[in-house]
Amino acid sequence: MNPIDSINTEWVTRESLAGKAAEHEMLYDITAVDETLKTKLKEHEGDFTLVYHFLSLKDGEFSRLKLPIADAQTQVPSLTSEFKNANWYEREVFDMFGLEFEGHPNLCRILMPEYWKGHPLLKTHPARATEMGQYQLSDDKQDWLQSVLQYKPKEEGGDYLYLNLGPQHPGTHGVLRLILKMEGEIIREIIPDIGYHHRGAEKMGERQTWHTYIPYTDRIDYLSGVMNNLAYLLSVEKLAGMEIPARAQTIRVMLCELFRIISHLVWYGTFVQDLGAMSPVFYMFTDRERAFKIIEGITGGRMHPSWFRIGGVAHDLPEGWREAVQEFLDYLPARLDEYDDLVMKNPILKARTQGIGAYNSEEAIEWGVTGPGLRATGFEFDLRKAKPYSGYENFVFDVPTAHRGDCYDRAVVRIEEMRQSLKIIKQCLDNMPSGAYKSDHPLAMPPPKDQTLIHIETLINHFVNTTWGPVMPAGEAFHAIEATKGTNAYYLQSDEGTHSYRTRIRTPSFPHMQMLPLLAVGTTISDLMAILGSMDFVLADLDR
Amino acid sequence: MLGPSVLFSVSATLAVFSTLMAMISRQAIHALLYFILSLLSLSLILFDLGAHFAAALELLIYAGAIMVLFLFVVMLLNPTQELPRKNLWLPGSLFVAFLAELIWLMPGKASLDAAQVINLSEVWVLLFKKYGVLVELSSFLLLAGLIAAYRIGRK
Amino acid sequence: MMTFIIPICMLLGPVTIASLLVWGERRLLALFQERYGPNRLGILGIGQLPADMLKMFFKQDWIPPFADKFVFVLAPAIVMATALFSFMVVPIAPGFVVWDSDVGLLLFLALSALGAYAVVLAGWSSNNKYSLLGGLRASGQMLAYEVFMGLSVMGVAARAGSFNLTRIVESQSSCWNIVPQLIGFVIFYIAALAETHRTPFDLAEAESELVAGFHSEYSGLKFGMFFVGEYIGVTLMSAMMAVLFFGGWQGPFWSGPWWFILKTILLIMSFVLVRATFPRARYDQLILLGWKYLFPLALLNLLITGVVILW
Repeated sequence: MNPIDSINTEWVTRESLAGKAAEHEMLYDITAVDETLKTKLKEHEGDFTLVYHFLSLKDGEFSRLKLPIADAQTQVPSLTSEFKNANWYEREVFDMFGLEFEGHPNLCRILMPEYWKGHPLLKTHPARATEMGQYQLSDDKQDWLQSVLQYKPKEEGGDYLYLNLGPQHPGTHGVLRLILKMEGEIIREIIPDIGYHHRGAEKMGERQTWHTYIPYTDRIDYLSGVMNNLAYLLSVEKLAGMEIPARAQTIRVMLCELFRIISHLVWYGTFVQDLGAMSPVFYMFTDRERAFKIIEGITGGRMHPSWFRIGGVAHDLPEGWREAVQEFLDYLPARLDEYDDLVMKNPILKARTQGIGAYNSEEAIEWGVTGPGLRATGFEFDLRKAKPYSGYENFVFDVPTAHRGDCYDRAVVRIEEMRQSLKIIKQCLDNMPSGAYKSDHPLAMPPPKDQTLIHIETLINHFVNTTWGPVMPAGEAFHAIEATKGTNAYYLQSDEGTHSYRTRIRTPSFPHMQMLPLLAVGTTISDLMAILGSMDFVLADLDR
Repeated sequence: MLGPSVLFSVSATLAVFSTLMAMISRQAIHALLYFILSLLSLSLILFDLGAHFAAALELLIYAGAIMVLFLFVVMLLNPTQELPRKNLWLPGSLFVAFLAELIWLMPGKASLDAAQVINLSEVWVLLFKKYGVLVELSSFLLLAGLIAAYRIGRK
Repeated sequence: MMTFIIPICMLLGPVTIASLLVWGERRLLALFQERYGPNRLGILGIGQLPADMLKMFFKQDWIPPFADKFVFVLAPAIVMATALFSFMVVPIAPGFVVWDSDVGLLLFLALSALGAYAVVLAGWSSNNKYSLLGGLRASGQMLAYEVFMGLSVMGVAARAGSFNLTRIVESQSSCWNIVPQLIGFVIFYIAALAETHRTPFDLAEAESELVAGFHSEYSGLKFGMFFVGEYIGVTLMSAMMAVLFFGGWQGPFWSGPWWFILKTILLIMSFVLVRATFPRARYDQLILLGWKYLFPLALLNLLITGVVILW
């Protein structure tokens, strides 16, 4: 048991890994840590540690397996035969650390392009472009880079049409590339090519202080703003071991639920637009604008307010927030009902989405699906209920489910979630506790100013805290939250420094996208768009 | 009017020539395009003869529907194509000739009306009275074709 | 003199209305969608229209090197030509028609069938997979909906006892065809949406699936021809519906061409409203809807009309 985040942690060997792993229900995440520069937290003499996270869906408990690896030449046993979603996670570890997996069916780079030299998350790999020498792109080099990206279909006979969908395509919501092998309009094979939106968020975590990394998290799932802050901060706060005041928690919950609505409204509009209806997206963006008005009034920012802080939030709520929130609460339900009439009851939309891209709960768990995608199969699992955080245990709300697990049901679940979020916001409004909006823990905020003028020790602390930022005690912490698209988790390791030693971001879009071939093979391009739309992914969330 | 009209002569030449091209074209789609042109020219000939109904049906059914079906099938079977053709004067000139005919037809439509136009009701009376049995028989043939297509289409 | 005025009116009228629609549709859609639309340039933003046209004229008109040049150039011409030719048989007022043909209705159907080639050939000649898929979809769709469109108006023709459009309008002096031929109208309307590639049947260009479908490779004026051609098609279909089902130039009072124009504009606006409302149908669903429901319905409509007439 890890004392910091109370997650059951076990060390395994290469031989016992598969057996231990198979005891768990859902593979949640695989990542690795380059141990070479560790000083305080060194737990073994090898160069790497592989970290596996598993989720038990009955109680929302996570468990962790750690596998020490001597060096980069050591082969790691692959878990692909036990867990289907291990495939991409292991490819990512290979891509980022160069660790090879024994028995992996298709071990190649996933986020970085094939021509990339080195493995970015190694401590020896430069973090800044300026450390890599001047960048030059000659015509020859450009041709070569292009040729590496080209997909050369194997000669396999049959009259197939190979269609390169993306990275620039209006239906993919960003830089996602899908290579389709088609027979007429029927898709026979899909090869997703991701990584075009990879910005090295995890690498940046290793050079930003604990505080200055907060704005980066906003941009991971860029539709859910402060919700990303929450996942990161809950892990950091576990490391620091601090208690959050009730008011701060409630403010956080209220903003997160507002952002859940904002994110779902964007999803709603774009989903329907993918299906060819052009009007709803305008209505939903209008509604979203109203929600942004509240966000703007409270935080000063809009899409990426970066407003949460270690130990609480940046400011107290401004005057007049109650009226603004109340107005929104009165406004949205009627609009949602109207959309039900316009969109969800439309026979064309039903024909386009019902029975399309369906999977059942077993498949969802096999592939690591969480969030609305899992609940649409009838499996009631919501981290806010299963393992409440940030005071969610104090709120009354339902976890909407559906039973067919198709595109339509995923939509139904999300729409109902918006209503539930309104319910939670209403409760925040009615029961906002008074008190501090930020913890007074020394790692959360500098010592009181008046004290610094009296005690030299306090002054030093103040100075260090504001210039370097807080120094987190050595240890590892993991926290998952129910984000808008699924569960989002941050796994942090501190080597007693002003910045994290390893930041791992487990995002929901990644496993969901991995499942795409299963859902879309055998359907048409039109269905593929419906499936992509109903999946609700964000490219930055997928590639980080 | 003595002898064949100008319209007839040009259309007939076009029809013959484009049909020939349809036969010798290597690219299937080009062949179809020539064939469509030939059908359009045929339709013009029918117009010239005063058989407006037949001309409209020629356009509607052959050029409009059946050839689209042909095109559909060819496109479906042959998604990859050869290098684009460099030579443009032949199809260009055929097209221009056809266009010239249409333009020439525009102010001349009064003369078309004046020509011996076959009355529609006459056609119908002929079809359903005199050749009634034939029409019925051919509809049986079509029905048989429909059933056969359905049977094959079901696999 | 009239021999020249009428054709010129019938040529310029639809083109003007269609280009006005470029602006009008955007304004209308904006109205439906809680936004402003182009409202800055000129009165009500009408200056957007010449601005857009100038932009279209001065854009590079690029023919991809991998395209089949002749067919590539031919395709946009077909759109404009077939749609404008069709106006030849549309009667605006008694005697105000380019060619009062006895086979007017058939000619309209034939020309709109020929219009299918534009999309199919554009899709094929672009030599681009998205375009090809768009072209394939268009050909299947047109083929199916051509049939119902023809069948749905046969009831109208039977009631009038003629394919002559003037005669059809005159036959509606006591009662517009929309009442006895409601089924026919609905089928015709759906088929018209499919023929003009408007939402919910804009499969051939479905932008979230096929980028821009059959006209992905077109730019400049050629794209403009597809663009305006679509609006001419909408205008044509609206005009035909006004003629076939809403009594053409006849109104409850002061019958005249203004009634025809009013009806046409209202029908055009209904096209815009439909576009703002519906999502896009899937290809196979569209074809199934056609053959399984609309086709029998159209036949039934024709049968009942025949029985009623012969009663």
